[in-house]
Amino acid sequence: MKNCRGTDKILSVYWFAILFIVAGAIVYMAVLFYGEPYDLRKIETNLLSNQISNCISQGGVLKDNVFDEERKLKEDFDLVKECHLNFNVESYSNWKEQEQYYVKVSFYNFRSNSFLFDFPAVGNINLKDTCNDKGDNSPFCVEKSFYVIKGDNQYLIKILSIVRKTEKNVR
Amino acid sequence: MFAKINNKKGQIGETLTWTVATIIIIVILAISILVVSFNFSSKKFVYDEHDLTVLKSMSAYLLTDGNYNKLSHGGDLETFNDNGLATKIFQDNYREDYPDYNRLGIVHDGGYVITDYLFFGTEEQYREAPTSYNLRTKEDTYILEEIKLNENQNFEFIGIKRRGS
Repeated sequence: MKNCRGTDKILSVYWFAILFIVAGAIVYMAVLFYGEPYDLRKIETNLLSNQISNCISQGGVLKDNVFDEERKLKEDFDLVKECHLNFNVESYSNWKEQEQYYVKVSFYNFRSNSFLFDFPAVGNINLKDTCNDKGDNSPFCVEKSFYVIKGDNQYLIKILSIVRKTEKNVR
Repeated sequence: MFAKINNKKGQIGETLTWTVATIIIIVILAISILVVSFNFSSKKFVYDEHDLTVLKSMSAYLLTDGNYNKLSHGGDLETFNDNGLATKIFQDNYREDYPDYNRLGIVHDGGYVITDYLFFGTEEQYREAPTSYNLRTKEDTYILEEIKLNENQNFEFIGIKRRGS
């Protein structure tokens, strides 16, 4: 009878050990799965490109706000003001001191493929130089281009959007 | 004496059973952890299925040289692409964004009948003809942009970029 009680005690300790091992493994797998952050920078860069492309064109035609009184393209177009961009970031790491965004819009003549001009770029220009760096700490860079017309003129517009924010999107 | 030996044999048998069971449990857990770490430890990206810049280029293409009127009244893309405009816009411009499949087309009846298309890619890519349902991984990008030409016809662009391309 005494022997039986001993075996039961050992068995319950064994069951507790197995329970903890299984629970620990499940927790570890959950951490592995959910612990990796989602990289949302692609969405952010796309949103930036979309906002700018909507701001300067509609239905495939360049909007009037990109032209000056003499019907020439405004080379000093203020992207932040005209396109309602907001580059404010949360207080995290050194994000407040180091801007996390960069945007540049370039105009090309579609027929001749020749470069016409850039709108004044906004954001942290240093991010542009690290675009081609490989590694987790490099910023996310996307260049979108689209064809647009105004009267008989055909343009190709390239929008380069860069988002850094590596600390929250890459581990 | 015999009872004691039998009891010991029983105990050894039970211990063996539990040892094997423990090993099996640990092996199953280890395999599960390995599978999770191999499949999910890579970067997680979130993709959307639309590209506004493609849609804008499609609108501008339809507005150029009266292409909208021509295409919506039975014209075919290949004839209008004689000047290479569609190729220049949709192949040259979006080849890098969608290197694995790049097609401009006119489809009827909600996409079931494709009457006319310009395919910008290799023969192998064309034969494979991927859809949003047979992508290899969730990290492949598939975009479909459509503009209604008339009641039955849609002007559409399909672009695919596979993971790592």
